[in-house]
Amino acid sequence: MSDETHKNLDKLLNDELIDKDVKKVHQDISAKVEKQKRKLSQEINKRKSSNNDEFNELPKGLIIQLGNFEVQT
Amino acid sequence: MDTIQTKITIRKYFLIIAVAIGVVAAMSQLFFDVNSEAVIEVRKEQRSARKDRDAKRVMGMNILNDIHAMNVLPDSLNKKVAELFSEHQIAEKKSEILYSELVNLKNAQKIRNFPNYNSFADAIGNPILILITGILFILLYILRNSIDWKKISKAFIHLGLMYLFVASVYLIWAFSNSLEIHRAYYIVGLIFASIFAAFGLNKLTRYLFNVDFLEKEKYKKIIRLLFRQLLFTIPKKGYVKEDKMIEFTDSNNEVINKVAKEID
Repeated sequence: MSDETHKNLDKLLNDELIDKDVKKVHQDISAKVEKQKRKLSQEINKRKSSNNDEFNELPKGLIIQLGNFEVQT
Repeated sequence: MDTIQTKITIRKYFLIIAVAIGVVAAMSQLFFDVNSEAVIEVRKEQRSARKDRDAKRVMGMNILNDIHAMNVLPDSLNKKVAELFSEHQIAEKKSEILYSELVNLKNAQKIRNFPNYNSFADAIGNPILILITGILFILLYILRNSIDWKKISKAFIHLGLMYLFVASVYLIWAFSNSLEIHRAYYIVGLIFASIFAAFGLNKLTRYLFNVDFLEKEKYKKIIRLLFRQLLFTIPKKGYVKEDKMIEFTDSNNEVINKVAKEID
């Protein structure tokens, strides 16, 4: 959860537009979601890096057609 | 900590002294007699002397009348004495009749124990203002938990100015050299006090009895219910799939930011 969202959540609580327990649950869920995002991001980077390594190991001069796209090694 | 404690103590004493001065000033008339002992004494003597003077005057006129009856004065002087006695009798009779009329008229114009409406209005005017103020404070106390004090305080400046105006007129009158101040000052004071009172009460009543205030509370409750459903019930009961949770939460954060922006 960004700082802005944190601040806005506090604002809603002060203006009596959300309850305290609702705010807490949302903050907990947001924290879990942030953790998940970080994990996913790491996984994506790992896969990206692994794909790049694999691609670099391919013989040079090869033309690979992917749909309308052509990629040369 | 000492500075804070000192400030609290100073404020406490200031408040106590201010309230004490206000209450004592309002009731201070009780501590002073209308007339001092010396005034009462001298007034008694003056009344006695006046009664004596009047009696002597009547006696003088009667003696003059007797001298007239004796016919010992020259004709012209005798005539003057007769005329003077007659005029005195007429004037005395007239005075008695008018005095009686005056007493009846004064009694007719009495309002309870006050000689006239002016005195009655003078006595009752300020207590009515204080009574209304008292009722207002009690009302504010009863509604204290639902009042947005910052908003309602906008009325206080106008009401404060109204009180200052009314008090200034009375204090200027009390300390002025003449017993009465020009009617124009009363009217000007009344106009300004009325203007400030109108502004102040308009803001106060608009806030306390406005439908918007009650409607606002209703809408706040509705929004709390909706947020509870969105941010609490749906995720807790697992109505959203795990793989959609990130999108769901991001979307909720967007809603939170948008709502917060709207209430700015």
